[in-house]
Amino acid sequence: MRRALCHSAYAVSVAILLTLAVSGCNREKIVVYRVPKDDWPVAHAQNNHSTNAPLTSTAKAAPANPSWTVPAGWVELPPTQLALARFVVSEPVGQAQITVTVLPGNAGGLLANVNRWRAQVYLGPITEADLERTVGKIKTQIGTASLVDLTGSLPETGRQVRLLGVVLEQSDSTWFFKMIGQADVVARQKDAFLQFVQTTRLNPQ
Amino acid sequence: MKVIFNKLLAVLGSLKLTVVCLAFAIVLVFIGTLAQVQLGLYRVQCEFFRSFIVFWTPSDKPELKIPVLPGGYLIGSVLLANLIAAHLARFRTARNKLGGLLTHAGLAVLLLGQFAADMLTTESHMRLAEGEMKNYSESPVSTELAVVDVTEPDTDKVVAIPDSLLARWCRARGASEQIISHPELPFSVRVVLWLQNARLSDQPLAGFDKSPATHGFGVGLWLRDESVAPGSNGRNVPAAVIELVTPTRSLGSWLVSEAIPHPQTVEFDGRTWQLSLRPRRYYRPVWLQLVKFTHEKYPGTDIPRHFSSRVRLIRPDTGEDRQVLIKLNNPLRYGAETFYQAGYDETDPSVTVLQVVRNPSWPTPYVAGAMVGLGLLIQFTKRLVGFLNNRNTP
Repeated sequence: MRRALCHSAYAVSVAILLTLAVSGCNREKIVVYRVPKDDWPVAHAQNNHSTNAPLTSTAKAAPANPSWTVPAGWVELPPTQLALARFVVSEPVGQAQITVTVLPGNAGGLLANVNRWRAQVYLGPITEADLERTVGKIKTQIGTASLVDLTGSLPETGRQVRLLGVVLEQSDSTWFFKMIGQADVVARQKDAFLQFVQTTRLNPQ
Repeated sequence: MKVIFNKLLAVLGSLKLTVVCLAFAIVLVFIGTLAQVQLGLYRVQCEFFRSFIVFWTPSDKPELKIPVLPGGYLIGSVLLANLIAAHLARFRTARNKLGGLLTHAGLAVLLLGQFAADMLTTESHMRLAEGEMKNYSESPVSTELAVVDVTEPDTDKVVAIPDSLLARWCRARGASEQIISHPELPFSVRVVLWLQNARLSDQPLAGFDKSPATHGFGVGLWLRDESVAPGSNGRNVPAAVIELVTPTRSLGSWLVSEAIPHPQTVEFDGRTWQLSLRPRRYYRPVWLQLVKFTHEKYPGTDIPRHFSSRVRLIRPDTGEDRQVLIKLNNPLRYGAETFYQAGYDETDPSVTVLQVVRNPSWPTPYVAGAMVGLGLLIQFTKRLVGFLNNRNTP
């Protein structure tokens, strides 16, 4: 009886040691999973309770059937819950991404959204007083819109990142056109982007 | 056979072995603490305490690995075996030694619980700006190559390759051995270059080599292999050059790095993929949105007095939607995870940092403590009763 007990105890000890030896050395493996889009909850956050977020507090507005002329070389990506349309333009030296987003109301106001964009290119926030100097105007087929042109640097590399953003306020919604990417790619695509914005129309549904 | 077994049992269960193990443990803790200055906390944990043998590599011969000390796992395992063997060898009438048995069983549970915690615990950080919403946290030390199919409108399919595999494949000798294939990927990934800590530049500075990337953001960049970041607060910025290959052709090569935060897009076979090297992510079904971060300091100083995060918790599959206040000593416990108020961003007063800990073996220290306490109580009570009986005997 006692001998059997000893054997059992040692078997358990050896098993523990072997388990540790095997599992402790290499637990790394490729994993595959599905996740909602990063902006998924934005469209689902219908009943927000007093958050300070200008964008995440609202659901996507239903746009009035827009149409536009897509510049040559732009590749259309699938839309997401937040972005009405997405494009990518690839050049041998880099890429730029273009998104069109529509949100109800004023979506937190121009200042909050400009500061959100500034953060995306590693620039600090500005105040209301600086807004006039930062924001230009552009005429589109829908109306006059605000245009921002922001250039920042990646903190690690110093490589410049540029963002062109257009904010077009409508009576019940706000349209956002954004191009972000490597600064020289964005510079070459600037005219195409502005033309894309200016050719956008809203067709009655 | 029985004689050999009994001798083995006597050696393994000897008190001398216990003392030797405890002495090694003291030396290990002492040297490990000193080594943190050079290696940093994470590497010391891995190389000293979560290992069987501690190796030393001479600085002039990096290919040598000389064993110098038993690692934490080896000491713990031998102590556990020593404990069991001592019980079997010496405590023959266990029925009369219930207190001792319980105490030792509690110690065994404590040791096993610590092993289990090492194996199963994950710690990660969730960085949230006010208004931001996330359903994932990120590892502070590990990275992954995320190859993400973003073609579908609602969900993304992520194939995440851990950094350790990238490093291992890069070290492989033949080009064919450097190729990673997976049934969920329509192409294979060849690891052309892996740097544990790299510095990137868009200028050809001294000591920098031109990135071999042919596509994406890394074309025309320059990179330099940095030594692994020293010190507990050091943070490596790894980089890799990967080539996507099909059986018939190469799709090109891309430089990926945590220093390049924007995913790089690849079109292949009618589907859109994005590549990025990012901190390893841990997804969960619950979303947290930072509503308000409060960070108070003592007047006239930078010493934090109080900081707390009011978060909105959303669980789409159950309809749960409520607000929670997370503050020091008052974490959010949700499912098998605990969200602690861990820190803040010194450069942005609206950003909080939560530490997310999943430790399935968390009850073991409590169970072990209760067992040891009960065992000692029984033992001392028995002694006390015996002592009182003897004293009252004329």
